[in-house]
Amino acid sequence: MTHRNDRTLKVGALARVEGEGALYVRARGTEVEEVRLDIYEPPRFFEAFLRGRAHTEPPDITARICGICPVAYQMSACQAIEAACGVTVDGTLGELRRLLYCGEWIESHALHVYLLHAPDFLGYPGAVELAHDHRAVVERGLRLKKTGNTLLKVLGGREIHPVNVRVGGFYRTPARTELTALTESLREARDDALATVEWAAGFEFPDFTHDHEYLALSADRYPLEGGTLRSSGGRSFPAAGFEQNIVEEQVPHSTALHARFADGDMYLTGPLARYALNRDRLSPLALEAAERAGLGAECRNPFRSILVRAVEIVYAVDEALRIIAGYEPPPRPSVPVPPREGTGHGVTEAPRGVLYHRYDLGPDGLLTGARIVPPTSQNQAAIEDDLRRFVATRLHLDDHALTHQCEQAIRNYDPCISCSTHFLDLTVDRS
Amino acid sequence: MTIVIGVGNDFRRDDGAGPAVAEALRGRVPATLAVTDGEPARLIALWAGADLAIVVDAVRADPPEPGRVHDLGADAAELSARSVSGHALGLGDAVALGLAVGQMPGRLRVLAIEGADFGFGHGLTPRVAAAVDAVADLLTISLNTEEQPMFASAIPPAPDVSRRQGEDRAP
Repeated sequence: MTHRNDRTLKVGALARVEGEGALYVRARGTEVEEVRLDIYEPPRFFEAFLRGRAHTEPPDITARICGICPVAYQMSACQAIEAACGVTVDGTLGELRRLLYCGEWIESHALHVYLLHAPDFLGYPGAVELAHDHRAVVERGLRLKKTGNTLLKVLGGREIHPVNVRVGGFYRTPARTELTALTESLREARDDALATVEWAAGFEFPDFTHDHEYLALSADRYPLEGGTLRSSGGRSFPAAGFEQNIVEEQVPHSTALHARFADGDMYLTGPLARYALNRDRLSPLALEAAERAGLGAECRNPFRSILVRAVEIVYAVDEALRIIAGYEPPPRPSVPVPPREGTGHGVTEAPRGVLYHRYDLGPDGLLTGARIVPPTSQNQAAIEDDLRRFVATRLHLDDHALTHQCEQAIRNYDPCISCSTHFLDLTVDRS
Repeated sequence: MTIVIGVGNDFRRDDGAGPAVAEALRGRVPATLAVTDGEPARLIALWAGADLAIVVDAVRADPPEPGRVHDLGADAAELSARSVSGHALGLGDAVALGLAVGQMPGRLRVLAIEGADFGFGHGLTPRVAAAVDAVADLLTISLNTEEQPMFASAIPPAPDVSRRQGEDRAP
């Protein structure tokens, strides 16, 4: 089986709701000829149907792009519209946005770490089988996820596609007691998060590294809701410079555009990039957890991204506790954002990486243009590059083992198409 | 405590049947009402600790009969073994995971409404809208009295019911 000359691995369905994709690998002898992460989810035309809408609508409309990271869409949308209108939302309202974002990070990372990624390292086909043997571990994951959900519900009005976010702030801000009521479960979550890091640090990781240029926001705090874009290659530009620095190109096998730097270099965004570029801005507790887990100044093994996500859960819980401890309800739930003609850009750190929005407003305040660049499409080229190099060192494996390792390599990036990767069918084309 | 959980996306036509039932029950039943997207951890968080959880979801079936209601009863072990979803984490996984971590409701009842149109857009097709009303009426009786009316088509449940997303497989 392994000495065939031509091998083609096809994984037909990587996905369901949040995206649909497939994996295609073709090898000849010891050479990997082609690796494609096909994304065939039908294009959804959000950018087109945002045109003609009021400037107040993108946070609610774009939240519908994703059921796992709607807050990211809302935050990037608000930031871009507010920038177009020349309004800055900061102070307590800014802190509340950050708190809401912490809830999403906790929920999204806990889902990925426990239900999607960990089974790979422990030799289980999925979370259910993991739970049979390690019930307390999965209970811990569910508990963490629920804490994130609760933050979303209290602050966002509901857990999925929150309804309380608006351009300028919120429709309603919580009373102090509504937030302090979360303190106890967040303290428990902090212990759970620390235990998560310790647990994941004991996994065995495949020996594999990459040298992609990392791109993440940088700010005076660990980046969530804003900052300046920086790269490990020394690039630095604001949200408004995104389209001068990053170009998207169409590739035949994907309905998602591939993003690259304007000079042609590929890059990677997400937890590995955030960590490498902002490690010193982690809270002392999160930094200590990272050090105990053996994460150095940067992490170049994508399989160890599960550790970085675990550290980011510690950070998000810690940050949520900090914000709640200092919270005093603001005098009003939002600031006015009167529309004006112009263009605004917003970039925030979705759980999976940099999420860019741009809106053009006409003189009547209606949108004349919109652009959305999500993290998974930015990472697609880097994921394929990883797969190409990863497969080349593992061609001795049989198709079954090789396919499994490829799926695992894709899950390293928690792509929005990851939720179903435990259910892949493999077709081997023996040409 | 009783909870009725509508599962689905009301921007995908008939996939909104579950949320529509939850909405139709507002103020009519002594139960907590919730809407979610079917992600297992969220489902488990909603039903854990409930005496009775009723999950209402839209499905596709073959051969199709839009508006038909399948009462999938309360056999959690059977539900968990059933391939409810084609290649994703779905209701069957939620039940299996809930069982594995001991976070199941006292009783679980799943009402699956067969849909016709799962395309983009708002609004149910007429037969599904009628089924939503029928399910809401049935649950109103059942949750306000000791009666446990069942749907005729419930016995036996069609063996090939799959959750809608399960049909979204690759061509």
